Amino acid sequence: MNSHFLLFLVILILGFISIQGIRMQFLLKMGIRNLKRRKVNTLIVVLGLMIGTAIISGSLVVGDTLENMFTKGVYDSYHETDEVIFSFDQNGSYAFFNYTTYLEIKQFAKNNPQLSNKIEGFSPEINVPVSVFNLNTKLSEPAVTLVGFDYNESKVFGDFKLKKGGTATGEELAPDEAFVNEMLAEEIDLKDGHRLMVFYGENQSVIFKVTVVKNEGRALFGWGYGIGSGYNIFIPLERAQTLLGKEGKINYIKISNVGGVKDGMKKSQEVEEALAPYLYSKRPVLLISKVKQEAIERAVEGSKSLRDLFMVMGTFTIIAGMMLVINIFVMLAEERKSEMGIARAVGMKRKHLMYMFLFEGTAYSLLSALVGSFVGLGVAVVIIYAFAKIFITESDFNPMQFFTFSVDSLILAFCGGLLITLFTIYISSRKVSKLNIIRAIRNIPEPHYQRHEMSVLAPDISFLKKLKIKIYDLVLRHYEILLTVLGIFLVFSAFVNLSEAMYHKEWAGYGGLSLAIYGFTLLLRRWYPDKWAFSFGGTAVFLLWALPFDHYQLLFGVKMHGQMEMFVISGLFLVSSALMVIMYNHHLILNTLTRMFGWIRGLAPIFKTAVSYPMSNRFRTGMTLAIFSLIIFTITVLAMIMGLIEGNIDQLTEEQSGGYDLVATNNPLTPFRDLRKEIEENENLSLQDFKKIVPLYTSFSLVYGVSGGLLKEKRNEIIEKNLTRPFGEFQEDADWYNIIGCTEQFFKESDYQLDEWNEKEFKDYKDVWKAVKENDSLAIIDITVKEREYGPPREGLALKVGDFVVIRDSENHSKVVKVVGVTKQGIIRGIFVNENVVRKDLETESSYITLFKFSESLSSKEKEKLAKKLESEMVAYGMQTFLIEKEIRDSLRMMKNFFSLLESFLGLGLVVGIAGLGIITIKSVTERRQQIGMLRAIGFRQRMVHLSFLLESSFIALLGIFLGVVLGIILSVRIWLDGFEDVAFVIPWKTIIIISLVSYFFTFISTYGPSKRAAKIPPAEALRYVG
Amino acid sequence: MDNDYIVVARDLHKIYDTGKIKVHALRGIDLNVKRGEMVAIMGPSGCGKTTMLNCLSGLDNLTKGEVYIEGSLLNTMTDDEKTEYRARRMGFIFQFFNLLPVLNAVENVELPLLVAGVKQSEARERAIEMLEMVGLGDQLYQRPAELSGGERQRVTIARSLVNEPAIIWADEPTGNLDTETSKEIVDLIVDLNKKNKQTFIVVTHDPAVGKRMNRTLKMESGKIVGEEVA
Repeated sequence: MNSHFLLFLVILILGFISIQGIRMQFLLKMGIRNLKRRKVNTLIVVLGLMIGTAIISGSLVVGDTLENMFTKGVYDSYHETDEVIFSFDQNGSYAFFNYTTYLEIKQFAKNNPQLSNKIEGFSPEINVPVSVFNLNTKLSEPAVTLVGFDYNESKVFGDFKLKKGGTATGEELAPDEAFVNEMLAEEIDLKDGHRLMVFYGENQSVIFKVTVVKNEGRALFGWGYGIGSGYNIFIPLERAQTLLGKEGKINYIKISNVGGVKDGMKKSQEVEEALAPYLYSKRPVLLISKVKQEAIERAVEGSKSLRDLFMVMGTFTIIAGMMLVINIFVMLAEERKSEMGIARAVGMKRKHLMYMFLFEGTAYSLLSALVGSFVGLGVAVVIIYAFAKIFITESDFNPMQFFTFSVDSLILAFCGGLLITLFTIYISSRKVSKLNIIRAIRNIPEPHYQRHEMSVLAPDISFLKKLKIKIYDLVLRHYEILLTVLGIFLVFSAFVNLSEAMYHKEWAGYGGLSLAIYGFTLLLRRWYPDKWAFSFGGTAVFLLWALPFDHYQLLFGVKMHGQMEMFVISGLFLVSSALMVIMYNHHLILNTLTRMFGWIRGLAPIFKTAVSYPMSNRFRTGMTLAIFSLIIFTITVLAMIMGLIEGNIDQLTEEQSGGYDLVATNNPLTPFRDLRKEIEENENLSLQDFKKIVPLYTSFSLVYGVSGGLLKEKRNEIIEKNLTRPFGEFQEDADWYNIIGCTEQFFKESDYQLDEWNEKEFKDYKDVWKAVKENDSLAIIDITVKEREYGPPREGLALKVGDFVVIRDSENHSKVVKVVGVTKQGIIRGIFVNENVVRKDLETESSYITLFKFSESLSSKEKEKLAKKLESEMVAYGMQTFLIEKEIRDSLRMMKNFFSLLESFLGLGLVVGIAGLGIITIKSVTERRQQIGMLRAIGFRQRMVHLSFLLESSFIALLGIFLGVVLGIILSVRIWLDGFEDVAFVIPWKTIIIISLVSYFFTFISTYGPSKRAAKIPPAEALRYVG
Repeated sequence: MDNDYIVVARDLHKIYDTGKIKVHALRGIDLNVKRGEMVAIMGPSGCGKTTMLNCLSGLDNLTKGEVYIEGSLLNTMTDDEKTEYRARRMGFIFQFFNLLPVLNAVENVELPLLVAGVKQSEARERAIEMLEMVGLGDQLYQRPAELSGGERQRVTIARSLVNEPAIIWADEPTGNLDTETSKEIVDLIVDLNKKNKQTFIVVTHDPAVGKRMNRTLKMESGKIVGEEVA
């Protein structure tokens, strides 16, 4: 939301309150005086109110810092480079073209008025993947980029900065010398003067004496958020051309726009538009990519989605904070009831009382929003530290170097927090100002109102009454009907798809139906007792959200899915409906407890008081229960999802591995001719360690998806068009992807399960693989490119079963295949076809993906060792290994830690709940002094009073925890049915029990003291106490 | 000690020490109350009536002196023993009723029985019986807020009698009631005394209540200064 709009709104509201304050100065003074009078109360209220602001501010600052962290990487990496020009080879590396083409492009840009003032300079280069071996330290690295640069042509990209000090242009490098950046130097312990062996082609290598250059400017290219590792070696262009046998050729052009590192990319769009058509006319067809702008967009998107995740998760805590504030305010009012009654008796109007509270509350809100905005910075620091610890492996990484926050974020948090608290206080003030003067003066409890309790939510538009407009009456008297109508409207909008454009359909359908039921429930109260009405409404809404997803599809025609915001909404409805039922049927709990424990002498009366007190104050207890259950609910769902994944790790590994242990890739420029023989001849490796070695033929091609749902003629027309249209036009609507040619051996020895296939056509997934083996025009895609059924559409390639795929490579070979299946795995990314497609249709014999199955006698440790050994022995081929099970376990561990971070973040909400219960207990002891005296008089021992108070708070906490756990499990069952149904359902009892015990333990601690004090009050003194 | 006396007090002293000042609330009280007797304690505000009642019933501790209830020395009992004793042998009626607002009439009345370990079903039965006896048979499930002052006091009386105590302590039982209701409540106390032979010790300001008791003790400045026998 726009911070300026919020700021304007805040100024408007505060202005209104200030004017009222000036008009009613005596009330302003009275309100503010309360702040000074009760310092501890003030402190508690400010802390409670602060939570919301702190969460908002914390989430925003996390977003700011992560954005800074991610974008800094992009800026550092691309530095002066804004766009790049290149073309792909069949094997995925950059295709070479003539240096003269570069000169033509340069000339074109110079002569083109749209480009001449936007482009600052070019850097014609060679960029090839190589692998390296440090002859001094014997350390190797398989994935390095060898950059041949032309200094004279690329002066705008700056000089190299030597690590030992000083700068260099690179021209001074002798033929056997090269620069390496610090990134690579640190990885394989390279020092100035070390000798580095570089493998750059089949059986081709060269040795360089290296000088280390700092990770600055052009030296860091290729590193950063979502970009790569950035290991670079630099040699002059001519030297690179000679070395690779590519005299007069280059394969990469970097472009720097006018405007420096950050602002240059603003011109990227125009540069691309003006240059692209010219590049498409070149042979090979050249492509232009706005690398910096796109990477920055990805980085910003990444940080925003994390920020939003924290914000959504924080919603529960914000709501919990609001509930605490309402609770505290209502208690403050109860405490001041008689003085408020006297004030009313001497002539103050209800409006005055409300304003008095509003003034007091506004002061609290201002204070807390201010404090909260800054506390949020602290929360952000903790999150960022934890985040860095989880995701960044470098031990000396200091995330605080990226810590930043925008003034906008602070304003947004301050205004957002202030508005939330002002709204909460407005509701509380309206609620507490409604009192009966006599009952207030005599401190007699308010009788139960059958209706119109909800009217505290209705805005005070009484001035409209004077204009004889009945809106106020309408809202007040018929809010139930309005709520029902609103709900029905939302349901209707879901039915007719009216909502799609404005909000999620699930939201409208489910939320609307629930609102309609709640409205109807309130309506029922006109004729039936509360107990029946709320039991009905609560049960109906509960069933709506708790039953499995299918009935939703039945009602609304689309599948219900657990998106983030639905998580929050379902949580709110599940908790509110369950609470409704419980609050009006507490006698069932009491009876059960009495039946279970009542036989223990003395426990029956304790249960009776411990349950009856909280249940008679439905508002206060309901709010506190809601805080506990909402938070525990969220934590439980997180733990359950994690448990589902963790508990099924073996199954997950099996699905992902296809029966293999390791996926290895190699440098496409140095393909294996016969890997098995290579291993056999290597004295450090033994063939016996490998049970299976399965190479896959691979081609890197342009892929264009055509929907299978189209009419045949139309589809063929599109396919035909895409088989022949100019190559360059594909830039916008097609993607480069691996085409994986599966060999006989692969079909025979692999067991890759499928996520989806046409069940009418094939009886099982093995049948689908068999079809692909036998039919060159069929293909199976990996799950990472499967079209999403819900949520925002996938960016880039998105295919589904039944679609047709037009494949075209840079040598202008082409093929059309039909998608018949989707694998469950996403480790090997590509379109799986028969090897004939790659070898015959695309005419590629290269293989840069190999699957390994180790001997079963090897332990996990030995497998890890072997993977590393394979990498170092095969360094000449640039082999990189990916140990499937280890990678899955590592990413799971990372995910688990991230979930723990989210759980701790949610823990803030629990602190609110626990503090709330502590405060309630303290207040209860004061409120019930006389009753404590009476209990002692009729035979309650000290420890019975103590136990009664403890049980009372424990009852609320445990009921809230229990409710949260049960509801969390219910939602998890739904999530399981939706997305994990083929894995075993696992409840992580250990985690749930620990969370529950810890929450309860702190509640116990916070209420133990006040309960003990209650028990210690001498009975005679308690009886003498009046109000 | 004479077995006819249910309460025997010797030289009772109670000093409230508030730090700065010491208030000598009871200054050497000697008292004997017979089993089944109805005793009124009267006197001006602040003369120590409630303090004496609290000390005699074990709700408050003595500074000096001895109290025997049914022959047992109260002074030497622990807090738990006193509480236990109160639960089994004593009943209390207060000026402000002191009913638990969250429980209904019958739940309030059965509470002392549950404390004493009586089974839930039996406790409920006896509580209903007792409420019927005090004339509230048709308002068993009303909460205190839904009852009138007189009705609330009847619930208090039912609660004080439900565990069949030997002695009932009443602190201004009519203090919060109108004249008509006061009379009804005193009639009820007198009737119950006749029926059950229970001892009533009643602190009151109201001479009309005093007159209905067997004996009235007059207090002034922490001492008993006179006695009237009806």
